[in-house]
Amino acid sequence: MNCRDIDEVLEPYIRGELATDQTRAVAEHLTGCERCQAAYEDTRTLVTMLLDAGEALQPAASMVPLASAPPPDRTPIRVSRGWIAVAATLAALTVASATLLTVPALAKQVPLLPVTREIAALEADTAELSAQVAELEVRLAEVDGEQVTLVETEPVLDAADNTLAQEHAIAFVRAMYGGDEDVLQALATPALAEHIAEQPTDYLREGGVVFAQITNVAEHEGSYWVFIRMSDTVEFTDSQFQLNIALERDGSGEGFLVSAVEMDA
Amino acid sequence: MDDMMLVQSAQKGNERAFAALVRRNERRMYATAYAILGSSWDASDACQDAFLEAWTKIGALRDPSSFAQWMARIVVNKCHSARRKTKRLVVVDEVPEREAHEVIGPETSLVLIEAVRRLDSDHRAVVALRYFADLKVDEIAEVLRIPAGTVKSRINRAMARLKELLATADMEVSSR
Ligand SMILES: [Zn+2]
Repeated sequence: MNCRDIDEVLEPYIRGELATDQTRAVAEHLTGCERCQAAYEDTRTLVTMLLDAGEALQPAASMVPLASAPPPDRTPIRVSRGWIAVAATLAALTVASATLLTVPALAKQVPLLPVTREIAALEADTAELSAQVAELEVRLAEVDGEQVTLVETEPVLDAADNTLAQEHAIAFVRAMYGGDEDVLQALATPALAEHIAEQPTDYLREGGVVFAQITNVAEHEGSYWVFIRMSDTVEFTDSQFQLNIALERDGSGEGFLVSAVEMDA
Repeated sequence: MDDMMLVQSAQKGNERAFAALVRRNERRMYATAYAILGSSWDASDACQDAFLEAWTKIGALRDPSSFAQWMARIVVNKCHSARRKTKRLVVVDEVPEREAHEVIGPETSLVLIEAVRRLDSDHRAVVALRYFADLKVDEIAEVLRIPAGTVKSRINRAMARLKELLATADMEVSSR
């Protein structure tokens, strides 16, 4: 493949729509060609921004056409302004730098996928990134043994509870990927546990999980929300998605239970 | 967690499942219509019509995994008829008004949407379906009834044009 061929297929390469041999050929060319690497970075950034833009507008009118439809169980989450500002800045930074940190060994085992290359490039940029990250009040934190980028929000819980809520959310996500239905039910409110028992496949996911960043806890109508940007090693090797985990205080008032899980692409 | 299961459930008449399906897809479909039509209110109407039609016809969707493509096709058709209607209207001075949406994404997304709206209409439709509706090349080809090769070349040209637009400093974001 020459550079002109690469220009033609960069976009479908980034979208993961090339055949295996073609993907390999592009990846090989990219490792040896600075010009095309730069083009790849440009296009990759644009691709990410465009995909994000598709989710940026929430229509004001209800799009649910049913007269008898139940009220939406997912009202737009309004969190404190501080959170939105940080999240917006962070989203901009994420776009600019493709992904933020946290690259467990897991992702590195997948050869020749675009994401693997990006990770290599990212590791080189870590120093610069950390400076930006510090500026944005985003700090690295160790949550449940995992290095993740933590986004500061206006505190709605004290520090200990905050950590506890996040650990609970992460344990829940781990169980989703670990195929552990019993653990899922144990970490959930009775209502959600019942739903998990009815529809386990809604909650069980394939592959390994790569945490990218996590927000502190936000509050919305009496629930606490943890927003986790992540990817996985099966379905989302090349793009991130977000799990929104809603938590409620458990009966003892000391711990938390997951009351809802939403997934945003 | 999966559109496909919601589709199957909606096909059995489960309104709740269909409502969930709408809420998972409404932002992408709305952005697609907005990019194609250029007016947020027209886009909102087109999407409402489209989801209503989708509910009445969902039983006829043979491949539940192709919901997004099927939905995008309905949205594109609604956009076409909306455009035919508005063409007959005399455009009076545009009064600044509220948009039919709330911005929930970062500023960069607004810049991108604005840039997409500045593409010519063929490129706009392809980019909207590719990125806002998140479809594959073959799916776009079917929705627009054009060859896949044409979709590919339009995507590449549109991407190049978008890079140019984003590089020019005078891109103002309409934050209405
Ligand atoms: Zn090259």
